[in-house]
Amino acid sequence: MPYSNEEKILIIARLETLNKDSKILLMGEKKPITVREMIEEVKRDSELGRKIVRIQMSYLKALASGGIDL
Amino acid sequence: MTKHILLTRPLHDIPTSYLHCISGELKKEIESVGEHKVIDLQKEDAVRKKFEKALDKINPRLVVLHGHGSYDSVIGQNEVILDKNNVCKLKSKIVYAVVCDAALDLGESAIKNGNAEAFIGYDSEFVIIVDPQKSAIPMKDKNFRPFKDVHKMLVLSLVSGCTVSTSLDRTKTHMRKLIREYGVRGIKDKYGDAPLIRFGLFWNLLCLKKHGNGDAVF
Repeated sequence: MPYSNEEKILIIARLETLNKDSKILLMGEKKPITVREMIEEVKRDSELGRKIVRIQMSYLKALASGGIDL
Repeated sequence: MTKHILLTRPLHDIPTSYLHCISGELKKEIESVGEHKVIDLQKEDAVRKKFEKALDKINPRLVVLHGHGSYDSVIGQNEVILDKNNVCKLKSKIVYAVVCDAALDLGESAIKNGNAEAFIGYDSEFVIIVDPQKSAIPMKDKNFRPFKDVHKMLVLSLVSGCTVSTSLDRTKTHMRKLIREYGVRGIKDKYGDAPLIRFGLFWNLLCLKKHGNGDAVF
C-alpha cells in the first residue's frame, strides 16, 4: 500500500523518539536490527522500510480509533 | 484417547534459538499435564523426511511449526520441510506456523489443496523485541517474555480444547492487554524498550491470520 511523504516523515519522527539501541528481531533475518537501522530502512524506502511505515500507520490509526482499547 | 501434537524446532541461528526456547517451554507444559503426546522434531530431526514420516505414521491432530519460511514454504533444520508438494499431508489437521509470511500462499494452499482443517500463521514477519544485552541467551531475555506468553497462550488454548477462532480471539485480546500494559500504565523499563515492545506486539497482532474452519477443535 503506498503512503505519502508526510506519513514517512511522521514515522521517522516517531522512531526517532525510541531508544536507538533497542532491537527488533524479524524471523526472516539472521540477526536483530536496531531502531537506528529501522530508521535507515524507512529513509531509503526499502521493502522492510515500507513495511515498517505501513504497520506503524496502522498502529497509529488503531490508537486513534480505540481499536486496541487504550 | 491420547492425541498427538507435532512440534518442529530447528536450531541454527538467533531467530531459531528464540523459537526453540519458546517451543521447549511449551513442550514441557503440555507434557506436564500428561494428557497428550508431543512429537518433538528438534534440531537435526527437523528435516523433511522425518516430518513427513511423523505426519503419515502418527497423524497428529495439531502441528506447530517453528522456524524460517516464506509465503510458500516452511524451513526446518536448514531444509524445506513443507511446501506445495507435500501440503497434502496436512489433511484434517490444525496447523499453526510461527514462520514468516506462511499465512499467505501456503496457508491458503494448506486448506484448498492439502485439506487441512485450519491454518493459523502470519502474513508478514513474526517479530520479537530482544534485549540488546541478552539476545544470545533467550531464556534470560526479559523483552522476549510478552512474545513468549502470546505464543504459548495460542497453543495452550488450542490444546485445552478451545476452537481455533476462540483461541485466536483469546490470544489477540491478551496481545491488546499487553500493548496496554507496556504503554499507558508503564512497566519497569530500564532501557526504554517498552515502546518498541508495544510496536512489536502490534505487528504480530496485525499479521496473525487464519484460514479454514474457525470451529475446528483439537
